[in-house]
Amino acid sequence: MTVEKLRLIVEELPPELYSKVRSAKVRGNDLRLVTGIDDLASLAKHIHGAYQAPLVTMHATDDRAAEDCFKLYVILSPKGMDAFVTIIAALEPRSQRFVSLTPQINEADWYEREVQDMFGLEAIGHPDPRPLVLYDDWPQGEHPLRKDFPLDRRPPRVKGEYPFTKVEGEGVYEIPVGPVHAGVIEPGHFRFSVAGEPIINLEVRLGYVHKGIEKISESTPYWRGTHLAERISGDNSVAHSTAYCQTVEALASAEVPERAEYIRTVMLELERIYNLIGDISGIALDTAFSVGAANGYLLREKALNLNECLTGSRLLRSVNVIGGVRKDLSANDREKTLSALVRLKLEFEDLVDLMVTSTSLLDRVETTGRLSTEMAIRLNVVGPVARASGVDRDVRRDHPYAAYDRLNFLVPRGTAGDVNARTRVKIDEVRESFSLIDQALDGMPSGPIRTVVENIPAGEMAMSLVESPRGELVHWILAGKERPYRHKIRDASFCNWLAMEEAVLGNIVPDFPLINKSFNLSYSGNDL
Amino acid sequence: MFKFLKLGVLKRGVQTKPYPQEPAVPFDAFIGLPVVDGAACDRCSHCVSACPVQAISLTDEGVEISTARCIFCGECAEVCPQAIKMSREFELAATSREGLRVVYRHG
Repeated sequence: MTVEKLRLIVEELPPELYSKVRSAKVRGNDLRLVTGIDDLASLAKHIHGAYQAPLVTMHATDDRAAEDCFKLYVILSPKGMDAFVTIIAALEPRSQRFVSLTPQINEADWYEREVQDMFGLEAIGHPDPRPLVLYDDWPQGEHPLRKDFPLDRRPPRVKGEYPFTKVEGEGVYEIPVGPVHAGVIEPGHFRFSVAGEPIINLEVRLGYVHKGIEKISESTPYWRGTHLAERISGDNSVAHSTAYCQTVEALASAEVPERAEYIRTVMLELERIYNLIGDISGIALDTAFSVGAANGYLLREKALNLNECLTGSRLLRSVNVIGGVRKDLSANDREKTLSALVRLKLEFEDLVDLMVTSTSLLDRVETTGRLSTEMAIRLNVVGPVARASGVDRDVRRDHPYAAYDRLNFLVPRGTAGDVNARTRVKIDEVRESFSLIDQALDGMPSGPIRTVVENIPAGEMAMSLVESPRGELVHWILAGKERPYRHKIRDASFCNWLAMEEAVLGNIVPDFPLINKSFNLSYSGNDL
Repeated sequence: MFKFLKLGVLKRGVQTKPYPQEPAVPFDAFIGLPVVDGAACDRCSHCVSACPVQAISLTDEGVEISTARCIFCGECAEVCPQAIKMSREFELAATSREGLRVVYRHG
């Protein structure tokens, strides 16, 4: 069925594009089109437009050793299909330039800037070719993800300055905030241009916690990669490690035992619950609604305690392993979870009741930080943020993994796209997560929890999408010898940061922390 | 007002624990400091190669674990169930780098 639909995409190509496709193969649910570098943009634009296919990821590989060229991969997800279209284009030998997709596909913006920084490939015609990941004092001509850049290389630092967008006019002034913040949060720089109180421009500058995870992964054996994936973004450790394990399992064409799939589902939802309750409490805190915040954080603590009780780790580390999960859930664990959830649910409803009837809170969240549906689609925003703006997309339903295809759940959506809508969507998602855990514990079959995964063929590629508490995240691996040749990671935050620049416009500066909290994006996951 | 009372002390009671005056006992499943049984260790070094962060080394004295490096993943206890257990010990703070070395002597 999927295969036929994917073949139809090739058949439906306009003749001028059809003649440019050098090869078209279907692997599983992935249509792989190989084309020339000059036709990449038009082919991607056609599929992006004709099938309303958002850009899942865009990245490069350094194949100079084998094929004397760099390659670009553009992966799109056609609407209404559990399938993907991967367009592969090799740059001309020794060439380091390609035509930018951003003028045609807006959401390619940051991906191309990342490719420029990490591979030194120039995106010709990119509207904003400034560095994205590399820091101001990074020297020219050093591109960390190239294969001839050794892992331990520490290039000399040079003087440099980042050209921020300047907004000028009478009474317009700038407020630089960060990268070091007052609270114990991650580093990021926010440059506000303000006229009176309202924000007229915001520029987010990130990259301060770049750890080189993709580079490290290329020299890390697969089994160790799980631990690495858990640490990409500390509060999304199950989501990232599930995506990583699923990718490696797909490379080896391994089947994970059904019980392990159910346990993964339970863990993924436990992670969502503690994250989203934390978000909701944070929103209460930033509206100075201390009673709500205190009660919310108390609930979050109880959720963390449940995590520790089940797995030994509050942040659900060491849950996943390639081929399944590390620890089984006993009958005793099941009882403990069910009784803890009953209490959590009741107390969560108390908290919701308290929050949604507080006029002081509602006054702050309604109409604050609006992100329109059009903008959310244009920027390919993901996760609860997108759903609060009316985008109907959830990986758990659209590209089911683990045990989600055997469970019933709703995908909550809002319309207003303001802080209020994001809060409500997160509240509803917590409710759905409670139900999902109940169902997963009920339907969990008995059996093994782990299978042996070996013989991962070099040269294969695979990808996995997981709906983390922040939204869709992607792991893509091109296999090498016993370790990834290239490991592309895209956290949900990478898609959503640009949306925040839009959402704050016209809002007053004191509402920025609140809007930021309602997005709750990861710096570490974005910077990698 | 009623709502605040409903969520307040009346319903919830005291939620905190008198730690450190009284010891805090973690859950049974808690993964804390790896403990090596020196008598059961045959110096096969499987734990050393299983450790993803090079926290374990075999020295003349015995087995040394660096709590500065350890990420408490449990890989070592998985490859060597006879000699290594993940204990529930979590009070691992030290005032010097030397204090982050835990040595388990042989025999």
